[in-house]
Amino acid sequence: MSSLELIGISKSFGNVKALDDINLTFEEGKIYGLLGRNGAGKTTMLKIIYEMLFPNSGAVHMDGHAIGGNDTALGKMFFIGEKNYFPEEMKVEKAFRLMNDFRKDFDPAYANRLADAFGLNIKKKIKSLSTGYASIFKNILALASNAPFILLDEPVLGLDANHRDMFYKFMIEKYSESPFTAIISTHLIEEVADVVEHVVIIRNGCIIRDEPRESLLDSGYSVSGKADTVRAFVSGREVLGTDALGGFETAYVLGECPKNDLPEGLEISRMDLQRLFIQLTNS
Amino acid sequence: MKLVPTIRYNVQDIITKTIPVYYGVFTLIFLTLFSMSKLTSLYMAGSFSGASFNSTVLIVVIGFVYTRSSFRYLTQMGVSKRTQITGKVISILLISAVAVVMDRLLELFAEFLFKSTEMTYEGSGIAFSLFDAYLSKLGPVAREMTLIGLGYTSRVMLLSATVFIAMLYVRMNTAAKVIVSVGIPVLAFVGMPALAMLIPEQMAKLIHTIAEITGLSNGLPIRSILWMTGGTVIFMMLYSLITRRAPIKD
Repeated sequence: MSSLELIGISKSFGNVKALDDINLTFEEGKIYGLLGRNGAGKTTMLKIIYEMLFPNSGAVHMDGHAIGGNDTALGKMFFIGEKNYFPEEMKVEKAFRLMNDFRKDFDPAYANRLADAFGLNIKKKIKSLSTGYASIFKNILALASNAPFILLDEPVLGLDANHRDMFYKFMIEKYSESPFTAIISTHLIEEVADVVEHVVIIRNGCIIRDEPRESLLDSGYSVSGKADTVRAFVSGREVLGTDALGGFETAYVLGECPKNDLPEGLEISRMDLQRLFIQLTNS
Repeated sequence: MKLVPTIRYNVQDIITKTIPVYYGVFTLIFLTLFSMSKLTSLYMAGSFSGASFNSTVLIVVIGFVYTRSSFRYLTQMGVSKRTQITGKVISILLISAVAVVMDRLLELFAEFLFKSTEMTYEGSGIAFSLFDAYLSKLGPVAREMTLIGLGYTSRVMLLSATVFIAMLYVRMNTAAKVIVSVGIPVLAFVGMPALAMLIPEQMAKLIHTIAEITGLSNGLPIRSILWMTGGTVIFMMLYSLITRRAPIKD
């Protein structure tokens, strides 16, 4: 079973510590959500995995071996980021053709099918693509690469709602046919909430959560009602944060959701991923 | 290993597009001059030097233009830095070989074309003037081999140097880029003449020593070939050093 492992990765830019002793394992055949606020270290982490950046300490291992300039290990991954690293004058069709040169598992027929579905003109130069179509172009390369590990940094940047929906559908379809590992870094948490199986939350360069989505969602709940009642109820519990509106309050609590002994007038509900993320990363 | 596609990516566009266009322009210039001298009543006489019509400019442009973009693209394709370095070295050797052959073909074409006109073409201008005495003693095959050797090693060294400098610019921050961009011309056009005025004897000795070591003052092309090979190895090693852990900057 293939795995991608980060061992003691630290990275600083000047005085800023972008990643601090990251230890993390990405297993084969899972869709990961890599979540974090702006500047948390998500892109830095993905770029270090793909050797676009180099850590100050630590190593990335593929199947138990340090990647360290190994073409075979790097070939098991494909990274797409916000920025475009393709020559600006290159046409989309040439990018597909060259991709076939570098990656023998690349499926050009599938890439062309996706280009048709998204309405991407493959005769166009990459530099002339809009932000949305540039994202579509990179997403197509990633999905058609058939790499066991796909690292997607803001894959839906600039995409309209219809194209975002299409992208997720194609990804799930592809994943259902032949599972791969996708690590999706995005700020659109609500949209990926139903797609990801495992969530990694990064804050200020440190991993604060690394667990299956369901178990993460089960780790907290929200309680709403009159402010006094809510405060009395949450007293002694681990409160992540509160929202107040008039005399009413909602408290976000970590811990197992109480099934009994609920005071009258209080409503308990499960937090969604975005709400939980906001509460975990607010401070 | 992605070495073969890496080399193909590095050289394909250059060999199939850039080089044909570059030499196509020169061929057109020569044909135009030839036609004008033959078909019009204008009296046209003159001399061209091989130094003006060869791949020197092309090689500098190739080195500067392609290095950054290929580094970014190959990294995006998941090509390791080690393979990128190996691929670049082999590509430098291949591109230089094509360039030197094209230069020689252009020279032969120009010599043939202008034979019947009042214009003359001095092929391999610099090489001829520096090593004239040595080359004139050689037979045609040895002379041709020496010229090709000189042409090839000079192009390989020039391309290695420009690739290294281009990669240096990829690695440097803005402040360092400004310092180098301003500092080198200042050193060359102000610093060196100033030194020549302040310590003329020492500078003359230094220049003489360099010219002797490189074979330029004593007209020994083999020494120049060896010196340029050594220079190439140094530039390639420096390129390798700065590329091994080069990050992609946004």
